[in-house]
Amino acid sequence: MTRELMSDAELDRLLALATRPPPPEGAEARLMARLAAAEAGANVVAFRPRPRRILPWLSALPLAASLACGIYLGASGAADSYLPAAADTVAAMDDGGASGLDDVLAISEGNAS
Amino acid sequence: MVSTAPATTVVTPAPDPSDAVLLARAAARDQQAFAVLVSRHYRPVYGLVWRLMNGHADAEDVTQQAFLKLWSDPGQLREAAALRGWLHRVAANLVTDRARRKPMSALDDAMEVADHAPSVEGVMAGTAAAAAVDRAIAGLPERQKLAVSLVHIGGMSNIDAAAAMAVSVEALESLLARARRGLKEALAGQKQELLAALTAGRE
Repeated sequence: MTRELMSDAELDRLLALATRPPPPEGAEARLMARLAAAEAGANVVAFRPRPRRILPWLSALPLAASLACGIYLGASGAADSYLPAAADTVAAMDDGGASGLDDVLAISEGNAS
Repeated sequence: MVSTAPATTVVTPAPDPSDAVLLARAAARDQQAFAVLVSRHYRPVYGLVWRLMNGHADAEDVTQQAFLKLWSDPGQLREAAALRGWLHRVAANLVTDRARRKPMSALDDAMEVADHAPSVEGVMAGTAAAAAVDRAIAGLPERQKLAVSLVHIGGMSNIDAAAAMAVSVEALESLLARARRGLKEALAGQKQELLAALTAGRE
């Protein structure tokens, strides 16, 4: 069984009945409030990011060179003549042969020198 | 003696500024000018969104987004004459995006149909007929629904609607033809009741 379709004119008349809803009450005011809020938010001044330092490792180069130089001079003994006399005194004390443990025992027995 | 009758000045109300003028002012962050644009175009855009979203409660939010998009950059609209179509296109795209993210409920959640029929019987019959037509439109494929909403309900010309949908006029006419055929088939079972409602609505 085939159903009889309506004519174009009848369909147009029916389409004229389709719901045309009015906007909800206060919708435009809510939109403008939202817009004003967005605008106020846009006026907040953002933090300026810190400018990125150009080649920060460049500053580490002289420090690294200085450290390498110190290690080399210390190992080769080339810098010994520049050291203060206190360094020789320490070496002399070491030559005495007294150990820390011996000193502690002597002190405990009242033989402190 | 020279009469010194006061000169009569006729005060004529200033003509409403055009959309182009208002858009230029809106581009300069004039919220009052934008409010006038909103009052001019809000209702048809909301009507389209409501239709495309099957009366979903989020229709207001989507409509607002369309206008906020315009406010964020009024300069993106090259011709003020195209404002209406632009708003409809943006709103339709927003509906599509929203539908992708979360499906919309049916017309059951829709607001009540406004009644402006002359008699109680006419109101009842007209309301039932309107609901049937709304359901039939809601059942159309998205592009056909958009075409019907723009042309048959929004009252746009085929040329404007085609521009709003970014399709050729021929493509739009094809969409409309298929939509009308689909509507006729969807409403065929209630044809007699619907036509009777049309008659009752006129009485």
